[in-house]
Amino acid sequence: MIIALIRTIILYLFIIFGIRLLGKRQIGQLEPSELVLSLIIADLASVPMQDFGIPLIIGIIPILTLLSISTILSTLTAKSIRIRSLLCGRPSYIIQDGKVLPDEMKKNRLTADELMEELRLCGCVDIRKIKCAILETGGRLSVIPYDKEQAVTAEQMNINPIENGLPVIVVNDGHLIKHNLTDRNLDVPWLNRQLEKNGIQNIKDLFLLTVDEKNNIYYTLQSNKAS
Amino acid sequence: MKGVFSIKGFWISLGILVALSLTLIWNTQTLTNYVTPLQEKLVEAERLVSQEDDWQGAIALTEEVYKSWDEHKTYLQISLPHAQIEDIFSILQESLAYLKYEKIGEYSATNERLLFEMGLIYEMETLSIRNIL
Repeated sequence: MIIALIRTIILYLFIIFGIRLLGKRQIGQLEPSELVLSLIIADLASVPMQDFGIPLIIGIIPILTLLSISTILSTLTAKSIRIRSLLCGRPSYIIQDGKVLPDEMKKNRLTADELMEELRLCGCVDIRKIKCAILETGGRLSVIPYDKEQAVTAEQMNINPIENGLPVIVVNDGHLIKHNLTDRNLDVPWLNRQLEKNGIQNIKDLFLLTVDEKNNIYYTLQSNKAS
Repeated sequence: MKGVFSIKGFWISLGILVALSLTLIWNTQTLTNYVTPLQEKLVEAERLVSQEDDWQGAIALTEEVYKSWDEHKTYLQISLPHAQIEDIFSILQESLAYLKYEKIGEYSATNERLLFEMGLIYEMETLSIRNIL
């Protein structure tokens, strides 16, 4: 059974490393080809994991081949619109100018129930208030309401809010991430002053500390230090 | 982000595919070049028994094949299903047993089976429409 353990570790690390190396960063919103790839890889990996009579290489070669082909196709779809529409399809307008397009729904095999479900999830239940709804190639529905239905922005109200900018993590689970600190043109003495100001003795007491572009800090203590 | 499509990744992937293809074609050729002489020895062993009644000669040749198979076991088990490798070991031992007891009918049948199984090893790896489909 130790063989099963070692084979599983090898195959798992191989798949993770292979996907990472060949550029697949996330398996969040999957294109059809990416979904097929994930399913096939899972199946291929499980066979040599369970059957010791099958050499490991018989699982590794198809997985490596699939990852390579997938990367090649990704590059080609990025370079060629024709190939992209062939492999990924094109987004489809399901609602346009407040009206549902039944022909497009039929073409995409989208039922009225499914449409209403997606609209409810977006919080836009009145179709008349929707400028357009687009069924993306990954299967997600993007809903864009009319401008007059959208929330008022600070600019429209002639209000100039302070831009605090993007916070970066400077301390993560007790560890200082120095390059993030220097990216903000800050240094360790500055950080120490902030900690002193907030009554924190040691960086290791912090679970999380972020600094935004205005040098405002947010911190959370470790659970055994939180009062 | 759905995927990083850098040119570098494209060329690496293409390189991997080409390298894999060439390696596997080389492997098929290596298997063929390895197994074919072994088959020839087994055919010769059967000829020695059927035409010259030279049982010792046949045993020596079959033992050579067995020894060679054993020496290459690691390579064979890395590239082929283990059941196939073990089958051939088993049939070789059977063949040797029939040779030692001079059972010509059983030996011939076993030898034929052995030749067939060994032929399957490289035939399955050969690039052909039949194998692909």
